[in-house]
Amino acid sequence: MKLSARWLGDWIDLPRDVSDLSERLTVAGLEVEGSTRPLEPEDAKLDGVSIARVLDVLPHPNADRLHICVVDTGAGGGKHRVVCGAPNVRKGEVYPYAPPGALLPGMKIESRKVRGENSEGMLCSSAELGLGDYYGDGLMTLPRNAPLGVSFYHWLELDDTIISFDLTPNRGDCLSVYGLACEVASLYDRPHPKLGYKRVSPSSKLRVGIKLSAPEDCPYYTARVIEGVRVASRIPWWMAERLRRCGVRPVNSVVDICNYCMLDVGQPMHAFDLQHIKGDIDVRRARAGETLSLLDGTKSKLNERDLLIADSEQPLALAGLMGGADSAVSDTTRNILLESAWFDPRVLAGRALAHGVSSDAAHRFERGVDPELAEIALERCSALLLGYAGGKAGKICVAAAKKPVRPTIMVRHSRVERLLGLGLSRPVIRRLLARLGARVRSTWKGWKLIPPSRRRDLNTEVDILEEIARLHGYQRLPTRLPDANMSFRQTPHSWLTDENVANRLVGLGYQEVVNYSLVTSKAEMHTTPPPLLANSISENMRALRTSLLPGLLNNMSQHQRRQIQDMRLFEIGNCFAATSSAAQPDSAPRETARLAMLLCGRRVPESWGCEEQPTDLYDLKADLEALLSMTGKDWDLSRAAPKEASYLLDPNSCVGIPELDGIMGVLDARWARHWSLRSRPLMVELDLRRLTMDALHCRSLSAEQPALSRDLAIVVPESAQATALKQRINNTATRTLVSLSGKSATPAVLEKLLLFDVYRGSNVAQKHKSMAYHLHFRHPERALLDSEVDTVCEEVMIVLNKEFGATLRDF
Amino acid sequence: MTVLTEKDVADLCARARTEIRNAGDLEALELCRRTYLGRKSELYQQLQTLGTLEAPLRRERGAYLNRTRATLEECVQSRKAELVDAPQTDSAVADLGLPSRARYVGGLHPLTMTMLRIRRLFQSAGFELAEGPEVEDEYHNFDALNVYADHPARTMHDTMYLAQEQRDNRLLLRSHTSPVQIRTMREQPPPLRIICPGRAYRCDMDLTHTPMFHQVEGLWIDKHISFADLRGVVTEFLQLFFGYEESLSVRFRASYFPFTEPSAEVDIGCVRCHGQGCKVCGRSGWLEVMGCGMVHPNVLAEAGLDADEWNGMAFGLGVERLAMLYYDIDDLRLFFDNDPRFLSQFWGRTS
Repeated sequence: MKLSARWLGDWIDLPRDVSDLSERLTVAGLEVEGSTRPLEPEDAKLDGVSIARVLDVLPHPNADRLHICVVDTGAGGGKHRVVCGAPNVRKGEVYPYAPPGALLPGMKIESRKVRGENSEGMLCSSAELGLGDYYGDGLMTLPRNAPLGVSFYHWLELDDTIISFDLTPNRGDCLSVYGLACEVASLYDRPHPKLGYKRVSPSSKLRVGIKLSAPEDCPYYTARVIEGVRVASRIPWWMAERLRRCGVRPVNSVVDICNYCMLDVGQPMHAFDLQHIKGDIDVRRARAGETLSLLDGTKSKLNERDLLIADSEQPLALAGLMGGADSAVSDTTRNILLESAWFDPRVLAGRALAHGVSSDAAHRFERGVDPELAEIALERCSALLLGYAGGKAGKICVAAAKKPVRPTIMVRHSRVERLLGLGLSRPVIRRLLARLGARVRSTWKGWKLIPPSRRRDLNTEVDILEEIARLHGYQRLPTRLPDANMSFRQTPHSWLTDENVANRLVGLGYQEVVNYSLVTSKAEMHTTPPPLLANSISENMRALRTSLLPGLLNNMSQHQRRQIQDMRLFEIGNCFAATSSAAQPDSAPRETARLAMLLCGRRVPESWGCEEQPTDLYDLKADLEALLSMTGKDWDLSRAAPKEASYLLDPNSCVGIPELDGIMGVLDARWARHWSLRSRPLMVELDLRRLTMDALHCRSLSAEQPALSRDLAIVVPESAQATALKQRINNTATRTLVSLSGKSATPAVLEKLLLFDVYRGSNVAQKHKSMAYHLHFRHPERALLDSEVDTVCEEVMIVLNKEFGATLRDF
Repeated sequence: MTVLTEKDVADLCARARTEIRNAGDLEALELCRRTYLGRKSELYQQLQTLGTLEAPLRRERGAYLNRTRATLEECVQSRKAELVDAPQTDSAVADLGLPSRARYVGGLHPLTMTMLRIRRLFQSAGFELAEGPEVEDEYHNFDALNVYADHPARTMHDTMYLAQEQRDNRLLLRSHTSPVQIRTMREQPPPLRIICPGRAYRCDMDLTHTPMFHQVEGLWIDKHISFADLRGVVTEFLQLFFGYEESLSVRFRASYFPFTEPSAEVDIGCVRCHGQGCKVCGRSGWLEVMGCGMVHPNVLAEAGLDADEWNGMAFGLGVERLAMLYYDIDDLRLFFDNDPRFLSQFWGRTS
């Protein structure tokens, strides 16, 4: 909301410097967003611009569209000749006049020749003065009785500050100049301004009957007829200027005056064209199927939740939101019905949004208007209407059910200390409550108070406690660290935190990314149907992600566009799966924390002395193993994933890790094309919460015996798989070692089995590969003999030969 | 074999010593040693013949032959020591300016780093980590937090709803992390001291809003928690977070949140201009960094707690906001662009 400081000064004496006021209001919860001057640019002073009357308008001898005006700037000012091109210049009218030497925004006025005729300065439009287009284009026509020769700047009281507020929804009471003045009075400990009014004595016989068919929703409705109003009349300058400064667009005199009263005291009012009201006013809920054309040109379908102002035949207005187009005040309006009522905020809440309209009235009624205000505002508004738009007022018609009453609130002294940590004495608190404008009575434990009617937000003890804190000043409240009870809470030993995981991956050279959880709903981008949103900012964000991999692929594609080929990325975040079924159509999606990694480009970053090698699946496997080693468990990373699990990945090289709900592999070529990727990255995704740690129990170390090692290079057909070979070697070696040691003795062990080379090429038969292993044997208690180890190796070769057709490689 | 005279032996010794002293490396020295002291050396063979001599002559010759041998051995040893300790003058001089062999360096995302930093501070004060789902329902996101249907604050949130049939208690993406307050209060008996970092969503996208953002929610329920304690906890946190300690001014402004009362917005003195007024703080000298307040009695009641017995503080921080201030980041969108030029600035940093 925007407010003129001068207007506020009508209600309460203000400090000259509004910066202190802004600061006080901001800290008290009425956030001042900024303050501006009523001129653009702000520092314009319009030096020299005065008020002048055009005595005569003569044709310009050399130009059809120009005129030569003789202007009078009053006693002592003399007469001047001014060339003017504005089509609306009229003899006898009064305009702002900038003589030579005057300063307009961005220009200094000098006398000059215009098409051969001397022009002493210029007559001004509102835009040229820095007042915007509020007063229309063309010259700014001033009232005929404006004082000639007087400084325009002072006459229009441009020495003003416009304060913009960002009000919280509980403070509907501050949506008016009067309300804000009361707040300022409370904060500065000044007497509250009095909301006075004079009764307008009725001189018109016209009346309208009022029926309250929904007394709960609208318990209090007042209205009066004003007969013979002149809609086309002009509102006074000071009023127009105040409206302009508050950012309210002009409509017509009746609407402008209603708006002025609303801004002044906070009561939204509405004027109906009386000739369109048939019979009595009925305040009722809408019936299904009814419609209403609104002032803003939209047509609304109504339902039972809408509160209406209707006549005997049809709806006239959406109560408290917006008037209907048919009953609106127009140029032809003669008689009006002026409404000032109180609507329950609970009924109006959300209705403006439901109808897609916004209005100042709705904004205020939703936040709560003072019910005591209706009649006062009606009288104040009538007086202004009669004064500036003429007409005769009718008697005020009141329909009242049960006016909402203010609650009596009990405030316990002990709660002040308990909640605010502030020991204030009873008299001090009582004084603060009085500043609030509340009626206060002391009780044994504290106080009983009735908050002022305009403060609809004060209903419970804690509301009052907040007011005490606010009026005392938040900055003056004590600051301390609490006395806390100490307690240990055990986190399960098996927990592997996201932080642990992330740090391990960072150590492995991976960069974390954060992608939106909101993704496109396109079915092909999801393995399972994604949960969909009813509303979102774009189609690209219509669904919740079911996997982290597409996000990483987007990152990769963007990285590529930035000429980056080597990437190691990871993301940790929640993924969602729709769980709705026919039985439970609206069950919440399943939400799981997942981890995904993406690897592509060179194995080692480009640098001197390093051969360029592309990464492959086994690099990612190494990184994943390094991560999984944190769990202390063995994970089998050698099983092919089922087809349906690997939808993004190449089914020929996709590892499934069902224990982790995970997959690992190479991006399928089809998807690489989809993302326009130059290489196919390696990716893994798994359920992060399934990574739990096993307890670590260290084995005791005995005296170390020497190890014996052998290298075995075997040639096997391509079909032989590493896992099977490893398993056979392990089994055979162990079995042989056990049988060698006899039943009772401790056997030696194959301590390490390392595949150190896989070779295809010369000396190896076609469709065969050579696989070379280091085998390390050790006996826990004694030195091993060469003969024992040789026996084991021979036995291993026999088994491998039998099962895989393996032979020792011939070098 | 000729028998060397004492003079011959002395000459041999002198020759050998020169050669040993001149041996350029260990290999050459070993060759010298073999030549003069090895089994095939003249000296060795002379020593072998001692046994055939008469006793007085044997003693005499034995004395100077053995002395010579000892001298040469000593000489070899000392030359060996010299060579081992000698600086490797002939090895190539390393080009110290060559770049290191490259290695991939990873990093955490600045939002993660900021959340960890926030978390660590609160955990050091005994706050525990709590979690809640990102897909919430209207009850937890609004109703239980005293934001009734059609509350003006509800429309301000621009909530994203899930597409579904059901009309009441609709599913939504949480618009703040505050529902975790309710879930925790219902699951654990007080006293409680929790923080909950997480994602939240609002239907909003412009220079200062993204549809997804991160918050850290805090809640402390106990019997004697007051607004003064809240001020203490928040002030201490902000001063430590920004590392300015007491010199960081912290301002509490009255505000309104349906789930707290009294409520406050918290401002800090601008960390860029230190209160002088700059673009970042909109020339006000203050930066709004968080919202907080005393848990509203209705919220306590909704969670099954007696508001006369228990009270507590709650606060919520915008992680992006704090990260931008802490790391001097000038554009919110950078967080979700994942541009390596941006992210690599955080390489190797810790939270």
